[in-house]
Amino acid sequence: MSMQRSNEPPLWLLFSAGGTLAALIAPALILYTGWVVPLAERRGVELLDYESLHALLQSGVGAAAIVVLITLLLLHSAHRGYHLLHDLGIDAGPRARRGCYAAAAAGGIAATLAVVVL
Amino acid sequence: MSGPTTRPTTRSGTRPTGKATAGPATTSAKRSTQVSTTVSTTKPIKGEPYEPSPRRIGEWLGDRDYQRYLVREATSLLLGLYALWLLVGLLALAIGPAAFELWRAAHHSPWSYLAHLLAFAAALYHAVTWIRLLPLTMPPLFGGRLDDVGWRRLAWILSGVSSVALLLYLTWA
Repeated sequence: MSMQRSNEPPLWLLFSAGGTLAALIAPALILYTGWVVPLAERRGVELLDYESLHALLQSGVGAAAIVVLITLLLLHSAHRGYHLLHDLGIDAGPRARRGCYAAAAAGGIAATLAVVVL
Repeated sequence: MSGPTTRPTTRSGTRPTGKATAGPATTSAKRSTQVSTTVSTTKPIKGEPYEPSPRRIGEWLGDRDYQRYLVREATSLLLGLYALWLLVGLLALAIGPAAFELWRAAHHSPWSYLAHLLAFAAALYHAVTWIRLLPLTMPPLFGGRLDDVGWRRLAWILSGVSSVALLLYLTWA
């Protein structure tokens, strides 16, 4: 009798990787892109402008880093979002579960396409 | 101090541990007894898929620890929205300078400052709780290398160093 393999471990692994990445750099990154960059621009200091970001993302490391960051954060959020529904007592079902992960994966694919086009 | 709580991750995870780190055997024994009281109704049978026990709607209303846990879970939604916003910026960058300037200009709206402040608060809460819980969530593979305080200290240092390195890189790259 063959036993069906669970797809939970890799999903939890990705979730955990996203959580780790978020814990290490997300607060600093959010404050930087959301507050420091626009406030600096008001004072005439250009940070993360089109040319420098374009150059940064054309390097393999920069492109890989942004794709990994976006994909892992989206997967982390999708996984937690689905489990949050369960913890609130809402039985969302397998279709919603697949939808959560599919949406996150679609975001990751979109990010990959974007850096390939650059 | 630990009380009759059913969630070992919240209380024992946040306490600065003097005694708990005395020996790995005592902590793991303590943990396993706590866990066994919580999951005794859903006895995991080897080979069967894990099915979390269903929760009632509103079950969280009277449970402080559970509310904190839900807040921690909910922070991930703001992190996800921030990732989506980064994705929009990346797509704008791929489309061209005009689209990217539109995305950049959107950051000057007061709503953007507010949204980023909320996302920052969520990320900070996620980071602080993540570090506090680290001794419990650490894979057993790395178990005995450091005590609880040591793991947390290492995580704080790692978080600080990687954040500063990232910001310096983004500013001068």
